Amino acid sequence: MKSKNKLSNIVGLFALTIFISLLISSWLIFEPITILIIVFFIFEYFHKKLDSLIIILIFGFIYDGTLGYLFGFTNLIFLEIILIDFWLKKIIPLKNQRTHYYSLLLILNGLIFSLILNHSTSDLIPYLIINLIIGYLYFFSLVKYGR
Amino acid sequence: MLITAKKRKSHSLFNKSQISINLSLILFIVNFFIFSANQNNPFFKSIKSSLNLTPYSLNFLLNSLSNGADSVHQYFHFKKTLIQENNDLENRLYLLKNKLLLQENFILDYQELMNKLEIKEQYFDNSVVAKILKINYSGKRHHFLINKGLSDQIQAGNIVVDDRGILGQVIDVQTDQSTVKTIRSKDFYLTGYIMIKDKPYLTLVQGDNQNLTINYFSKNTPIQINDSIYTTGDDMYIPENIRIGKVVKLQQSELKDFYKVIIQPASNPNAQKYLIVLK
Repeated sequence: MKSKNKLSNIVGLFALTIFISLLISSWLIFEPITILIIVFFIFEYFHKKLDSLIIILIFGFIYDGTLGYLFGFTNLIFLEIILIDFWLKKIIPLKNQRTHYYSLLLILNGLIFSLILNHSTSDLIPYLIINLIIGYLYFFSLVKYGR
Repeated sequence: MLITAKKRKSHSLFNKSQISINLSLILFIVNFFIFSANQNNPFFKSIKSSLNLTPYSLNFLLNSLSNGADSVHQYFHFKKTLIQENNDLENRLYLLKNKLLLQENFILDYQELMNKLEIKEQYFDNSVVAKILKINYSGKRHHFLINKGLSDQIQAGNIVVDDRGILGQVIDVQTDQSTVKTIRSKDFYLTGYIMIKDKPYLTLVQGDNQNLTINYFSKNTPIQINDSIYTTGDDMYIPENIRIGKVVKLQQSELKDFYKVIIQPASNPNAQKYLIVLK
């Protein structure tokens, strides 16, 4: 029962993320907006301990299809964050990993990796600033209300 | 090299325990191949078309919603305009009806005037057609003010008739207007005759503020309801053979052998706008 509730909570948050992404993406200046799904993934993976790879990959697959990205794009970001996390765990003490700064660092990492994969945007600096502001706001909103 | 035997046992794609680094790495590589592959083939296309909710489709949805809101707004605006136009048209219709009513009144006035002029020409050479200005003049019942006076050679005592019979008598004359007292007034007396079996019976008729009365009329005379009464005339103002009214009731008088006869006047001054003054 508890796991069912947890899953419905995750699916609800995922649907909310897609909806907000679509809403923001309707203004062309923000396209592509991957920051929200990165934040969603980090919140679910690190804060709610979602460690089922199949669910993560399905979410990434649906997100790609819904927003018209190339399949594999979002999942690559997810897996890159997981791998970076494995690497960082070896150099950063366990205590520091539990702070929000660690999550914020990973969000920035995910955003930069998404830009490496898809560098179509022309105004890089404004894009980064706006995406990071949106991402951090969404992240703290999820931390506060997403549980 | 990277995958140890121990970890391979405990970690899998569907396992909810801690995610394996090796599995993640393999999946990363697989995903990279998928991402780099040509995704224009029908398989990817069909999946994408079933999932696609691109920003443009959302934009389309928002635009549709906006258009819908616009249409609703336009509908209410149109409705408001229609109601306003309807009100304007109703006002115009009301004004036109008033105008029409006024014109009808003019036509009726004109017809009545023509009628009176015809009567004057046919029956009363020496007469003048006058318009009623006020009814119950100076608060007195059965008094009219007409628009002819001394300047038209009207004199006090002149008889006033309408198209049905005698109506009253001029009692006061000013330069351009005169006062008429109707035959219904209580202090109005008139001599008349009733034709009964081709024989005239003279009598005195008096007003009683509602009708006319003959206070004492012999029961030996075979008078009947609806018998008409006419003026006998005098040497001064009252012409003869003008209809006064008809008998509507025969009442018992104070005297045993006499009726009190109630006569309804033929004239109806309240339905008139023009009268004929006989000079």
